[in-house]
Amino acid sequence: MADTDVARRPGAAKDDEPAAGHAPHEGGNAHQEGIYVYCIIEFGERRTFGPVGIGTKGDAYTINYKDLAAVVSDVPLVVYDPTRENVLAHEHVNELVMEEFTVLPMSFGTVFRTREDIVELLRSTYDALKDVLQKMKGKIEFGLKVNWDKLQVLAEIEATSEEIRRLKEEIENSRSSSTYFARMQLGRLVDSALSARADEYVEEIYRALRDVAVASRSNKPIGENMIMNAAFLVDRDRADAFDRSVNEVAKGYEGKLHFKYTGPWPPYNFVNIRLKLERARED
Amino acid sequence: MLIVDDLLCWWPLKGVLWLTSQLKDVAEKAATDEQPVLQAILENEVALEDGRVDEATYAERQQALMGELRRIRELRQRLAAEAAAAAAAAAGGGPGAPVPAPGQPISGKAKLEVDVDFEGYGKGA
Repeated sequence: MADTDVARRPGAAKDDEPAAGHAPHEGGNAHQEGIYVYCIIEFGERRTFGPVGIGTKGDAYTINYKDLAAVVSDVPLVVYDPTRENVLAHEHVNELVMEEFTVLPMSFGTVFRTREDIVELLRSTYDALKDVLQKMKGKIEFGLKVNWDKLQVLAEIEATSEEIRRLKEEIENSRSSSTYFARMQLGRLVDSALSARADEYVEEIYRALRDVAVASRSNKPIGENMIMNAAFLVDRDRADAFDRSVNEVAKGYEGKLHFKYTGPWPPYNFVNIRLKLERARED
Repeated sequence: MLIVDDLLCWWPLKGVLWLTSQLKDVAEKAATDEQPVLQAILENEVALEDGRVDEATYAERQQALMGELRRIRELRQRLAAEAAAAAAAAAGGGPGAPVPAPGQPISGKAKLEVDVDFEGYGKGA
């Protein structure tokens, strides 16, 4: 169901290929080892998740403290750029772990120097982690990006608005060069008509999914044809209902709006994680 | 800096110092805001997915954007370290925990603050 291109990834970059665009950060030291953390789960035993993860040769595995576990892999201690390949690798591990566990996803690019630091992290935040994982049980996230064809909508607006048509004619027929204000006015009218139309669509889509979602987040649209970039929190046992509703809505707008529907994801948009360093101090 | 130079002639020095520090804050804020770069990275991804750019253009843009992101994060890291050192000096001890810049390797004791927010729905949420 996820349209994430993850399948394209399998260990694509060979070591001897100069991998353009995802070279290790010069600031880091590639000879030192670090441990990359993907997520935290509730699990009291050690296990591995196979050879997945960011630029790894080994397996993703757990570092445990009591009944909590961080899912990690060994990596060179460098700074990881959020390239497509790296981000997909990060997401892929979380997707895999999510098939069996409730996942508290870490931010992309979280690398620790030692295993002890990670155990200490789990120990010092144990209660809060247990609490949050409990709350997240059975909750998953879906992404919904909606694009339109701006030119097509523009043509529709021009065809239906008397005022816009009149202004356009006025500008086209005017022989004088003093069309400045008419053009300004036209631009404003078109802009507000476009955003009113977008708002209308977006509200209709939210309304249609209200009953099958727990909560939503609206993120900034990407690119100029996107009118909606939303994340929905859904109860896992209502995922099928959400699925059906999204497909219904998408069908209703066929030919007008293009829906990009992804997931299920761990609830990235509904969890706040802030990592704070404690001052280096011997105590 | 024309305005600052003009003001310098007659403003009390204290005021000028205040003003320059404000201007420096504004400049630093703009120079350390990674959101526009992150947004541009996403836009580049979507452009490739939609076939609006070819692989070569995509790769070229990505490389430039990653460079810019690194530059911003390094600057943030440096400013945060300076601020932490200054705060430590002022307080004479170890005050608030610094927040590591994204992507920087973490060593030593770290703490997580986690919470969930399952509220809010619709356009404004």
